[in-house]
Amino acid sequence: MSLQQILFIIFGAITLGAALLVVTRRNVFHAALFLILSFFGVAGLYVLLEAPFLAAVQLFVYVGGIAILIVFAITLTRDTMNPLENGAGRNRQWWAAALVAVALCGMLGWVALNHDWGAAPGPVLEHSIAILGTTLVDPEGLVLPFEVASVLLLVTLIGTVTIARER
Amino acid sequence: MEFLKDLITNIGLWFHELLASTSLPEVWVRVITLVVGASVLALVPLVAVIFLIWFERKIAARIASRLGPNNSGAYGGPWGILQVFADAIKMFVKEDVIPTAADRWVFNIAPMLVLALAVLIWAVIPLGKGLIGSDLNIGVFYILSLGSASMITMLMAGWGSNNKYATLGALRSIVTLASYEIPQVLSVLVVVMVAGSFSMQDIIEAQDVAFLFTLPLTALLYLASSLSELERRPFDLVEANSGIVAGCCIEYSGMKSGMFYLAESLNQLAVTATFSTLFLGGWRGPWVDQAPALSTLWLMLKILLLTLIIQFFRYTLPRLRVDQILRLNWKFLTPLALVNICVVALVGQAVPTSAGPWVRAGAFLGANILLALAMLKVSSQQWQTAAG
Repeated sequence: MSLQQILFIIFGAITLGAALLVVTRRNVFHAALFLILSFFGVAGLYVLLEAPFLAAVQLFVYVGGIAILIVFAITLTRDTMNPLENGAGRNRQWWAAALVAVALCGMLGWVALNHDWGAAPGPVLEHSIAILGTTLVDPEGLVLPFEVASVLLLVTLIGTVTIARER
Repeated sequence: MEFLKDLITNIGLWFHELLASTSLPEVWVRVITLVVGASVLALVPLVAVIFLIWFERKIAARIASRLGPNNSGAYGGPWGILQVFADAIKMFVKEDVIPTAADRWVFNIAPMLVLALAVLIWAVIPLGKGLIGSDLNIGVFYILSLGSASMITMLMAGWGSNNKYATLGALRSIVTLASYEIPQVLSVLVVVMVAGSFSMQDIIEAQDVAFLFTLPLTALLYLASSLSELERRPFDLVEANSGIVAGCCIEYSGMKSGMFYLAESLNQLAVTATFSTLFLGGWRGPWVDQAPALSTLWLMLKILLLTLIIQFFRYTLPRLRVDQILRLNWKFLTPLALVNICVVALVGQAVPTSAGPWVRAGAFLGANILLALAMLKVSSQQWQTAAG
């Protein structure tokens, strides 16, 4: 069992375990915190895949942006220090949800196991960050999605300011 | 003498040889060396923080024209250096109060996380020539993303205290931190653009002329936004000691509040080290090639200088309100950072690399000075219309 396999098992366990805890916790704030732990696990998996830049971006965007937003929404809207009493949040159709979840999982597993995913990927290039940078602005590379993404962000910003403006 | 010239690397090599000469298998030797090295690396900033706290007290006293720890009585030690140890012991023995309705897990884990994230940054700070925990090829970006990830610890502290004011303080802190990340990242991006790499050692190698002299505006941008990230005066409204007590960390007492304080000092040390690396040339200095052990000394001197400057800001400037802080960021620092990037990128392309490093440095400096003058003109017009 090489070190890489051990680390993969550890990070995978962190990711999956935290994800399981996200959906089973009653306290919404705890669920958000376990989601953040799951993001850290995914960042660790990226490092194992020799994509450190992606791991840092994962921390930056997901933990430092999206998770913060989720926690803002939780703190500003709910009284979650007292978890819900009298079963108000209990799911009555849990059997239907379980059926759909098992069906989805079965279908995904069948597809994943029966598909020919091709050969193993080649070795990671040496200056992967420099190559990523040049590809993002290369006219024959990814410059169009890059610019469209920035236009999308601009639209989002303008929309947010318009919605939140004082009349 | 030869041993002394590259002191710390030689100590590491001696330790490795010592372990290898015993009968342990190769893998264990490596693992033990790495673990010991990592522990020493984690201890270095903690020890440096002790000195830093004493230094801060002395400067505060000098600026306020009073005696600092200089005169802590007979038990203060020379120059009052034992004052810091007295503070540390005080924090250890204080009673650990946890509010009854607080969320115990979240409340207790928050200070540990803050300290862990603060120490993690030190893995990529180059402490000398060839002395770095791990020369990641995403060096600077790692520091930025850890700073961004540490925002969640404030939310945990504020929310876990089950205290409305702590939560509000935490929310305000997060708003300030998230806003000031933008000019911080943009100014670091300029340095990365000019140096051509994210890696800290590469940025140091690329500074034949320290970037402070070629990109002064960028350095000021980074200093201003990092001061806000650290929540130092003039941006420290969330922990205004005489007003809101401690923002998100009101309910913490004893060692836990000591951990927050320690993490803040560690972050300040990391920011000064990063500024030295990015703009002052890190461990570069005279005679570094002959005696690499001197490089650590140069880095320490630069860090001390920067700490002095930050303390000057802390004890002479008044505090800004939160809306003034946000206005400063969104209406001044962010547009300036964006224009700075465009200008530096244009100048970097316009002046070819074949013209030599001095010409390029001069071109960047000229562009920065022009930009600074333009900014002053624009902002003075704005102040006039706002005041008049």
